[in-house]
Amino acid sequence: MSAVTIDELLRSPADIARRCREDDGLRELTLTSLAALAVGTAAFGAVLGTFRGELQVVFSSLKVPLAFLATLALCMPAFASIAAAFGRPWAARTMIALVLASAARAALVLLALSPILWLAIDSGLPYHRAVLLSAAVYGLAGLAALGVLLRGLGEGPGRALTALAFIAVFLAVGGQSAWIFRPYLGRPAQESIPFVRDTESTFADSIFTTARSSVGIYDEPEGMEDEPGDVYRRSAP
Amino acid sequence: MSLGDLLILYFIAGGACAVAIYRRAPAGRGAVASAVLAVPLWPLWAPVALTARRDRVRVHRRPSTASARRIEAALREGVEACQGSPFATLLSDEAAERIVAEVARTEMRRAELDALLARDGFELEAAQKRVEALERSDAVGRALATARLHLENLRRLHALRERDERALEELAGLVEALRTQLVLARWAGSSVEGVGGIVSEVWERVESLGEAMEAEAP
Repeated sequence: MSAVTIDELLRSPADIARRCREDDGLRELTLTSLAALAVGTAAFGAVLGTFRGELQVVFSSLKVPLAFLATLALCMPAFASIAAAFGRPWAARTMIALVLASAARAALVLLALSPILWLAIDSGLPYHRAVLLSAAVYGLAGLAALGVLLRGLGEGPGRALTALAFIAVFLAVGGQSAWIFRPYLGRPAQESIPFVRDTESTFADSIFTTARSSVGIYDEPEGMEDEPGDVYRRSAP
Repeated sequence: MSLGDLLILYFIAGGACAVAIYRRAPAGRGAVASAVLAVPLWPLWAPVALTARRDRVRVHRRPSTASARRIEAALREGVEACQGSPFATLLSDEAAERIVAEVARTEMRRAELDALLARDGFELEAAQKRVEALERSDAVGRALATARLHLENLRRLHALRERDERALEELAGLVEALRTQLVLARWAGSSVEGVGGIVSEVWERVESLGEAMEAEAP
């Protein structure tokens, strides 16, 4: 793990993007990115787990990196194909290095913002607000990642479309990966702390059901204890 | 297929990647660590680790002359233009690596010649003046012959240096032409034969770089 590269990831996204495009020291960049990714997401996961405490801290610190890495591994072939389709037929290593560097920058931002989230949770932030704040932190980290990704894609036609397609694929795959590894915060009232919840529908199903509920169409079977449309509560992250 | 089956397949693939990475890496702790990392992270790490040779070339032996930089940049763009096209076999990653390595060897030799010719006793002008002075003084025999031999050797060393410089310059122009041809072929669908002609010429020049070095080697 190189401190110089970490510094570059944070301060000079343009240099990182150039290294990726020019195939310059990608091995070292990839290793550093993987390490930053593991450390940053593990710390963020641990902070999420403090909402429930105990074993949830350990589980979440393992699950957030797992979900992140699984998402990137699954997305990579799609990213390479999309980039090639829009006039960027790069080598696999170039694409991997660029995406990992972007993700590493996001992970470093997650690491930097984790103390704020921790403080908020420790101050007694309610469950749903904690979820919203976590999502906002995640969103900020995503913006930081875009800084590297957009520069890495370089100038030329199809840049915006490529970036949008990357984001769409990442959100779909990342959403499902994160869904599989729930819960991250856990509820204080829960007696046991599962590593993952039982399989119940998919991320896309949940979005679909929530969208229908938002316009007053409820698919809940009668007799459910939850309020109508409160799908999120039953499938809380 | 259950999640367990998928995981088993995933780790089998990871194990295979780890073996491949270990066999390709130079011996040492780094090789073991790189291979171990590939077991869980092979989709992200294996493509980078298996092509690590290029990192070493670029990080530790960066081109120092304008010609070499032009050659490397044009080759990189040429290889990118070839990827996924029918021309991919004409200019592969490995072929580009070989050309870059040959150029680096030529550069290294030129740098050594530069250093040698900058030393005292290797000035061409001084040697020329000494021969002229000896001829004016009607010196005969061993002294004049030795001075002439020294001058002739210096001229050959300078000629070698200039030849390398010219060869690199010509190769840079040729590789840039090849790059342009490949980019054009990719977007306009030119014939493989047209590209093949330039590729052959590039290889001839690269071979001549290597042959020149072998011929001059002690």
